[in-house]
Amino acid sequence: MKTMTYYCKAAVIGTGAGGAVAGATLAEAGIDTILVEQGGVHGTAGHQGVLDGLTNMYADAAMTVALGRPFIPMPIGKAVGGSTIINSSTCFRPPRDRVAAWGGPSYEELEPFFSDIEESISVTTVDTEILGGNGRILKRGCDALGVELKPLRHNIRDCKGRGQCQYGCPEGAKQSMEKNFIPRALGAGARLLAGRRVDRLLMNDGKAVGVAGQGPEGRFEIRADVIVLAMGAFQTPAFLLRNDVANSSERVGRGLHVHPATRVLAEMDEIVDGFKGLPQGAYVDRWADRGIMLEGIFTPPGLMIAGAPGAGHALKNLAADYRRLSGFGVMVADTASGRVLRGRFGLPFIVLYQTSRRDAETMRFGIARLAEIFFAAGAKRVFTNFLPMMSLESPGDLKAFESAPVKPSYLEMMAFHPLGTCRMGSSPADSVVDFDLAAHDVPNLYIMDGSVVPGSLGVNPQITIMGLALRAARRLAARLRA
Amino acid sequence: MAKNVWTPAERVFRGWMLISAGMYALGAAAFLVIGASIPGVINAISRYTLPLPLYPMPTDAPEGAFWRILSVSMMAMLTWISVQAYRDPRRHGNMIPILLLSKTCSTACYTVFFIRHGHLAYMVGFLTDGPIFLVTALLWYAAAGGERNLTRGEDRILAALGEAFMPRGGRFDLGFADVREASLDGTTRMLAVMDVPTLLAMRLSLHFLNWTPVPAFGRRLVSLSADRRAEWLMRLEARRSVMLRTCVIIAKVLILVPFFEQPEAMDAVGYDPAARVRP
Repeated sequence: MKTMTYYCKAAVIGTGAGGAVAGATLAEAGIDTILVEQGGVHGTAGHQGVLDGLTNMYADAAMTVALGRPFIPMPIGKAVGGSTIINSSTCFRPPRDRVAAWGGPSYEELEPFFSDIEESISVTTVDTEILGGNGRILKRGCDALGVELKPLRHNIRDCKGRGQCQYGCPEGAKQSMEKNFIPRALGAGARLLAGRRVDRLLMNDGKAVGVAGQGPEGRFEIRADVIVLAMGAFQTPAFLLRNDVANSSERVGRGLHVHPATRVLAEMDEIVDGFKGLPQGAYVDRWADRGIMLEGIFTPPGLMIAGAPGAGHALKNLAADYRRLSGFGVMVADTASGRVLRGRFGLPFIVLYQTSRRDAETMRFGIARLAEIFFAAGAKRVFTNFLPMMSLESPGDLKAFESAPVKPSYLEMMAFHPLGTCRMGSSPADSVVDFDLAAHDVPNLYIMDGSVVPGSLGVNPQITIMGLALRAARRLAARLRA
Repeated sequence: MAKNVWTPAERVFRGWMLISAGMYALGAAAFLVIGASIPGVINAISRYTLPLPLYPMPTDAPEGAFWRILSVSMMAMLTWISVQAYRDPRRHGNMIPILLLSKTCSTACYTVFFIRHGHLAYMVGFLTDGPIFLVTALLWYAAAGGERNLTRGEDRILAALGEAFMPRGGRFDLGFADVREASLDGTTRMLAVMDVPTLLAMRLSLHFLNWTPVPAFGRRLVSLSADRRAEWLMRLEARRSVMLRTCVIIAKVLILVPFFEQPEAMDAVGYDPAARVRP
């Protein structure tokens, strides 16, 4: 079969937080740009529920799993817009101390880029009215304990509180990449190739000169002056390992950091109707010094009940009380680190991640604090996702809960925000890209996604990824124009 | 006639069948042309590598030729089965058990003979046929679900699990059995977008769950009453084994997400997907 060949100045692989920003920035600078995306184009407005979201916008129907004890689902997006289309829209700038630890550009130098991004994706502070019943419960519990519940900042315009952000906003109100940077890129003349998986980096004389892959109509090649990889912290290192490039530091795929997270459910006497309202609109950072962030989470009944303990009539009773359930999440900045391996046996990548006992203890501490908040708000029962005590009947149970033996395998968790698998740094000996996000080893190869962020942030990373990509893409555009 | 659109699992299986067909055809040709000298080659390798007893050279015709004829005819049959399975795995996939049976016999016999006689030739046979059996079995099983990515047996396991998770009656009448077909369609939609290894892991975990009660009750999960099933699943959830708990969680997600996508189920728990805080 004939290979289709495209020619351009810059090929950007991936259209998530990093790729879309890079693509738009390059295209608006007059650079002939092609964006490639493995997933399809899915306008979210008008979509039909959780199943549509899971099957159209997530890789593997959100069953991407890291191998370890326990296995941890690490859902990632697979659509034009990447994970921004299925995230909770939470926007944090990176903590200053984390930026300082990178040893690269200062926070002050990065700040204008964060501001630019926030303006482009319409970041505002959540109006507490939109939090709905779930927010009301949390507020009551926090007030009773003297803990501050803070509104988050998010990239949603005119939020209606439909409660389905993670499955693609049905109102089209979330300002994910397909709402802003992708149209901007296309408006500036960029071309978008969706539904195409890139598998080879084309090299000539030690330089990156293009990529090749598989599309619906067969093999294709893109010949370009520069290649920007933005496939995320799983796919980008797997791609480099498969092509055996840019890895003289042997850091590619290593140093994976995530935010292990779990959901705590509370059964209330009153009707909560947690599904009416913004699922993730408020947070508690009282224990941020311990690496704990409490953030809102509430899902439609399928995933809510699937994540609850029990079977038969016990589970059915809980489902019958769905309107009386309240939920909130515990997110931990990890101290453990994992690894991404090149894909084998038909898998695009393999993720290994072993949660540390320390992180498990931190998680249990966070669950206990959240349970306290729920009991203070009047909860009848709290479900913990912690094996030795899956449910707590009263605040009196907390002492036993906190002294129960803890092992990572006792926790049922998910993990979000994978970072660090192609870390940036000044030295080619211990990093994959420099602070302009150019690969140390391969001229004309750039990486602009979460994989360059060295280490856990403790907060949702989309603004960090977009800000770093914006800075790097502007510098790259200037170089190309020169 | 409309051309079949193969699922990813079927595409992978067809690829393997094509490779297998080539392999068996080559094997048949090798047995036919140089069959008598193969043991000699293996003995030569054995001499320079592993200090194992040498394989006795085959006797002259007609006895040696008789075994060669049998080998060639077996290889020809396996080639033909592989070609047919490659052409249409849905129609001809049911011939694969013959191929698997042949590989089971050869692997088992090679193992037994190697233990008894210690010839390298048997070890080579075991190391070749064993992995071929394993890969063929796994890929055939992955493709066996056809368009739906689920076999009828797995439909039954999912239904049994669904009835255990959401039985009829209680706080609301609706049970999994009332919306079984629509829910299973939802499950197949989820399976259809998974990579082949993930799909395989999901389906194997269902079988694993199905067999877990056998040591305790002497019966599979599908054969237990709905109450007994629910009780058993709760016991598995409370186990410290990550594997057991993970299988239960996988089953819950595959069953309850599509179940609660049904309008009747949404109504039953009071969920309104169109609800909003602001008009």
